[in-house]
Amino acid sequence: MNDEIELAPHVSEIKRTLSNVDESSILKELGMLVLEYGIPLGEAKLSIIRKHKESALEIDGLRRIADLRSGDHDVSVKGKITFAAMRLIMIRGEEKKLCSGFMADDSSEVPFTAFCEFDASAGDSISAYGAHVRLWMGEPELVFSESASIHKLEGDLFPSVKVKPRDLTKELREFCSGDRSVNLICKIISLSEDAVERRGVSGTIFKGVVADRTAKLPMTVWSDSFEFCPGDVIQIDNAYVHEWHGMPTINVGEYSDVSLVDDPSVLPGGSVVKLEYMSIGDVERRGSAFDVLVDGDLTSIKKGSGLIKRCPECGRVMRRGTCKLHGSVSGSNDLRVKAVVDDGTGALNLVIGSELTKYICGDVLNDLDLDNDAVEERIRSRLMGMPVRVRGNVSRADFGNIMVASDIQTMKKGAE
Amino acid sequence: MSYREVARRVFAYEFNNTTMQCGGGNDTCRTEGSHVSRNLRSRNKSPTFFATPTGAVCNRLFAVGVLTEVDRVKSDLEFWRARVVDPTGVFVCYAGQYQPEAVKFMLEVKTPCFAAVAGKMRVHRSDEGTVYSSLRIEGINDVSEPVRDRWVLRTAEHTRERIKCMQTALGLGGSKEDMIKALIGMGYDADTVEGVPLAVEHYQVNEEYLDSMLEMVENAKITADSSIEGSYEPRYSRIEVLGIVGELQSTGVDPSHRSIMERAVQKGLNELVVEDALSELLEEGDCYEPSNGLYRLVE
Ligand SMILES: [Zn+2]
Repeated sequence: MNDEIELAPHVSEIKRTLSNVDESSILKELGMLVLEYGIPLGEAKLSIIRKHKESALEIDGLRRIADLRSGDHDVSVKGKITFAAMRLIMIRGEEKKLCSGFMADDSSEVPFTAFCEFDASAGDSISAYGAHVRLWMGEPELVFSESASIHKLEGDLFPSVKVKPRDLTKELREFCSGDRSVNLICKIISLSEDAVERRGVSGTIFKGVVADRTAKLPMTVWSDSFEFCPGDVIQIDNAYVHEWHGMPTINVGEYSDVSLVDDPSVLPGGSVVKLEYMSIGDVERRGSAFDVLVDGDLTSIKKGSGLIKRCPECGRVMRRGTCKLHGSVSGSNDLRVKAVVDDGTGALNLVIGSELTKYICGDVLNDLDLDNDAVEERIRSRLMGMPVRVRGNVSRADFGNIMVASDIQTMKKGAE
Repeated sequence: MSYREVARRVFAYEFNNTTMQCGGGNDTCRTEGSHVSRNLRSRNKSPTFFATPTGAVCNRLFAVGVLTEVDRVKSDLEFWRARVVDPTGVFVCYAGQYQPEAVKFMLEVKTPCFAAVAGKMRVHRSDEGTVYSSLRIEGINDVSEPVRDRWVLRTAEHTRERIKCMQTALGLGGSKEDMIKALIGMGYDADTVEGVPLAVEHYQVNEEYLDSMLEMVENAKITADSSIEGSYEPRYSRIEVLGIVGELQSTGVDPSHRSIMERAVQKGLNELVVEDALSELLEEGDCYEPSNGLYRLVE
């Protein structure tokens, strides 16, 4: 029969995954699904694999961890958990419990994240199927989504895989978005309560800034209570790092542990980072930087500097009376400078807000009836080529790094 | 992710002695982590770069000097030329119809004056083989003398750093790759290192040549007044926080740490910045603390 020839390559493909099922029964099942029920070929194949997989797992069809590549899907693996930690994150206002860690077989070790029910811990052997592999911080990561299933296995199936304690302590300069289960010792620099809505119920979280001898970073504590104050040196275990507005932010969640360090000299290096000038080349290499100081020249004053209108709803800059999100609205007036600050080692896009703009441009903007073009021109003739010392946060964006000024100092324009 | 080409700092003497093009399809410089290599990776192409005699790899430049002359090159084409002079020579700069702000500036400016210019570097070889360097202006403005002095001091610093790196490189020898590896291992950054082997080879750099460049740097510095600190306006935060303490005091509110912080945050200041401004005001004697957590202006 003609159909048999067409299905044959697919049968042998399925057979490679399901070596315990004989080809004739695969052909029978595939023929039924495709020819009688009209199910698309791809779907039919998956459904047969799923049906036989649980038993197949015990025998064959497993992938060696060393062979996993990002983009692989419907992967079956067997291995030993070498590290696991829970965390609670917010996805679109919903709390979501995740487990992340590492698992290994005789070939290699791989990081994983489980979005499904997961009750295994370090030392347990598991088998899993329906997993996929994504790229996480440049490396393949095994992901168990909600449709994957995980089975805890009896006994130690990988005696050669040893579970060693891990040193997950990092200094703040090394923190990147995507880091999880990290431990740190830091000093609280500032802390405040913030209102937040969780599952429609309003609650509080804490936002602050922490520092060690290498850097400062923002921190969010997802809890109604946090018994520490600015000045305290604390140890945080099992924190995770998320990018928020282009800036890595330390997240302290339900599964994190925070404890007070009684002896502040425990802080590695003794004290926290001082605000010192950083070369822009170094800032660029780091990618983002929280609360740093640079000393450079304004090598460009960009179009769009001067008077702008902002949407009253979302604060976005409006173009020709319209907001990208809220359409035609009557905007509120604002003033800003978009410039480039360059010190010969690197260049950053710089945004200077209205209060700072008024301060550094001074009298030249005091004419009340200036139009947009005149304001832009006056800003350019006051600031182009000027040495500036700027303090602020640098975040990563698609079109280059952006520094938002929190403090600024320029040279005097001259005697005239 | 795209990177903006950094504007390098070189003296006019070095600028006018530049004859080596790299980048722009010619992949001679690709040091891991440098601006050129990052551009190649993110945009899959590289703009034109020039390697100067001390190994600065330039696409853009920023220079400050005395604007001595402005003239129209071809009256029908709206093409303008400006001469910006530093202690070592002249930057010849051009602006055309695509730089309307620069043209407008040149129409209005009274020479001589101090001027800052940012632009793209060009190197042109005439039929007789003479090489001319120029800048295509992206931005130009009149500035004060301390701005020029600061640029001279900064440019001297950057040039000395490059010369130091080259002196080290001369002592190393070996292949380009080995040289780059060794210099990075000594802590030089990829951008400084990138142009070194290119310049050593192209300009036949030796110890005497570097010594003459160092002498050029020292002579340039003589013209610059190094006491530029007083030419800066005070920091924004300092003026604002002083204003807040004074304002609270005059309205009869005790300027406590808390009330100052509240008012400052209301005005859009960042807590970390206010904290530093307050301790600086105490340290420098503009404020005092009559009791813990209370601030008062020193009359
Ligand atoms: Zn809007």
